[in-house]
Amino acid sequence: MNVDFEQINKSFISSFTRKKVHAVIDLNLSVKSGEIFGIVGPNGAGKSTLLKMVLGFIKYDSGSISIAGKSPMEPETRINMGYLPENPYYYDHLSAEDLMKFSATTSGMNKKNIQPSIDHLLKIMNLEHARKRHLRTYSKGMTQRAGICFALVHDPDLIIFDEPMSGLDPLGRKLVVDLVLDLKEKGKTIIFCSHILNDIERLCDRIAIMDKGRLKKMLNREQFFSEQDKNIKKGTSWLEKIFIDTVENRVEQ
Amino acid sequence: MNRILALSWLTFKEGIRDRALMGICIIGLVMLFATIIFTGVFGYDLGKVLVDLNLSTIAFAGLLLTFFVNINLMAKDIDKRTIYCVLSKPLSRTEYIIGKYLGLILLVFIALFILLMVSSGIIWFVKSFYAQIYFKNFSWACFLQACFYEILMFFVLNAVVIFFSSISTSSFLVLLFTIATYITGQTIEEVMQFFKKEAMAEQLPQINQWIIDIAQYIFPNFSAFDIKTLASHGKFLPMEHTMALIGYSAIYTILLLFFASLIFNKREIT
Amino acid sequence: MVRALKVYTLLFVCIFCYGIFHFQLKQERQIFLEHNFMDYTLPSQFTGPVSLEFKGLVSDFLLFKFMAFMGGRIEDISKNDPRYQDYTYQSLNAITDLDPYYWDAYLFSEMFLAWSGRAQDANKILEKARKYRENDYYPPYYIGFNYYYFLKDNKKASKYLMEASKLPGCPYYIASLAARLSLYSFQHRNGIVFLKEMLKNTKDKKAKKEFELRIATLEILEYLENKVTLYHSVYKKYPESLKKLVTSGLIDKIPDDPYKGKFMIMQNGRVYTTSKMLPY
Repeated sequence: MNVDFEQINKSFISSFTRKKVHAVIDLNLSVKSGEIFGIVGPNGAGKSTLLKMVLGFIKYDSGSISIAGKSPMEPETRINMGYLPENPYYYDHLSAEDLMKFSATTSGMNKKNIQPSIDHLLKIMNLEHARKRHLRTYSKGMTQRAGICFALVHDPDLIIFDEPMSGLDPLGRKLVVDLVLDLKEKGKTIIFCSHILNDIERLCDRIAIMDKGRLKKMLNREQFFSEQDKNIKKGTSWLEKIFIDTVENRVEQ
Repeated sequence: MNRILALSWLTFKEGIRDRALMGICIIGLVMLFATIIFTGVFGYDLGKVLVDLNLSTIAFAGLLLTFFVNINLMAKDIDKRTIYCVLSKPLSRTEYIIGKYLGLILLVFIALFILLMVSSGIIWFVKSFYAQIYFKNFSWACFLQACFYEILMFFVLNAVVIFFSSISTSSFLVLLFTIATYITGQTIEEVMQFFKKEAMAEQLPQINQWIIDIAQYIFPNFSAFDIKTLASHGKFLPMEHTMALIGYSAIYTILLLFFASLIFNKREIT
Repeated sequence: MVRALKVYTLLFVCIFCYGIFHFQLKQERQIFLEHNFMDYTLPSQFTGPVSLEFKGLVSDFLLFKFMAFMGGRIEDISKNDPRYQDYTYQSLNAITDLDPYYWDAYLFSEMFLAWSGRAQDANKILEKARKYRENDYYPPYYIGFNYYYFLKDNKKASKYLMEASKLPGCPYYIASLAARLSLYSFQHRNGIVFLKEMLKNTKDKKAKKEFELRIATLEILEYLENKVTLYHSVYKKYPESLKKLVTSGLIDKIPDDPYKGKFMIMQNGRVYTTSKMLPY
């Protein structure tokens, strides 16, 4: 599934001061089918806003977004999408299984495929023991993993992860990394947004660096390897360096 | 349709497992059992007191349920961002509104139905306990009709909850607006009657009359759903009245949900 | 061990003190309530809208409060304070505004207002009952009775009693009473019959006691009047006082008024009591 952003602009009006705040400015981007696309940027760079526009939570002011040729405002577009929000919070009194059933049913999944898919995912994400427990009793990491199960249960083609690694322990991170690689093998498109540069570096085919609503830099895998050789200091990864360089530029500007 | 039902079921499940609901049901049951004692205190119209107490308990439980469980179910969705997990599914905003509404009224219906069953049992028990002369005016049909009206009122009141949730982000404001609407709806008819009498006597300016008329169109007339007093005296309302009320509440609910979905479609969920 | 002992001792002392203070407060409150318990009822223009959809419940509660209030006072016969009757009128009026079908409240208004010299007020409340409880013969019957027995307005009484006699379930004697009204002046026997009818329909123990007391008094009055009539037929004149009945051997002694009043004889040979059968 291709996702194309064309000249996207979005501003919010802050409710208190009535000032216009530009969240995304003149953004052009295209995510190709089957790639893992990473978005990095400091807090308030507009990453989450961008993802929320893809899901139709927020309307953009101008420009256009097309998801495999469809508008994000059409509910049907989301049939083949999976979303993991930042700091996911789900209904207190439901179990992971209830949530996944809801996710599968609303996506129009065939009834007899639902249960095997749930069992499979819960096993992968190591939540089988807690499938009937209420989400209120879950730890942060478990909630995060349940969120991933929720996003993936209907086997979507486009997967959007907003900070999938936050709150996970090293074991959980490994689970997610393996899962993402597995999904890539299956030819899914993944948009991935994170503060943790290390994960992005490891997984993504292409990386976009955003700051203050603007797209600052695009990097692809070939560039990684060439840049990696020129790694200047020990103990700093190249992406971190590029990231800091890009972001610090704005101060000088 | 499948998606709407899935959402209603989700909402219902979340609500039914809420401990607040358990608390409300326990309070309701305790109050219902307390009616057994209280009825004995009165002298003559035992049937009236019994029906009064039972219906009031059911209404009270319904109000608690709507104000504290249902508003929470609606507002928490936006407050705590649980709405993301619903709207990331292929549901339109309108489907979301309808699904949520159905979930809420299912919850109210089930809870009140359980209380109604218990209360019927209690009435049957108390009736067999005292001489029939004290229950001259009692009629099951009237009792059930009053319950039906009450449940109908909660259908409308929950649409009010949905409407205000679509406007406001804070659950407290939703609670405040809903309670205000409820009180206004319950008293508006009486206040209007009073004003009309005043207007006749003192010739209030025309504009007041208009404001009064407009207010009556805007706010739901909840006092029309309250036939507890009549029911306790065994007065059955004709079918035409019931049909008129069903029509009124249905159209009012649909309008509220319509406006709610209009507003909600415009809204950005951040 | 010592520490635990200290803690428990302290706890015990606290509980003990609490017991003392609680008892003291209870006594103080009791005194306070006895001195200041003059109840008032908010007018129904206010309570109506405020009680939302719980008007029936509020009317039950107000009646309960009224009964609790009266329950404490009903033995307090000697007081004849109009404030009590004002309260009675206010609360019963408010209760019947909230629930205009509520028979208990109408029954009380007949019981407590009409029989303590406020028949006019009782009739005002009962008019509501007559309006709302269409097929009930009691309201016009009570109103008619009040006109006849307390207000001595036979014309109006006859009108209401006629109305009552046409409603379903009305005992035959009401029709005959209505018919005879213009011919006869009022009789204690009618009051007795009326009270017995009320007694039959009530479950409240206090009210029952009150009714029985009144019936007993009326029966004494009737008995005395019968003796006076007998005296008249023998001596061709009415006795100047009830003592004459004793001296002439018609009765053994003048009976006691259950309401602690004194029985008196009037010029026309009728017997009354100075207590007027007022419970207050």
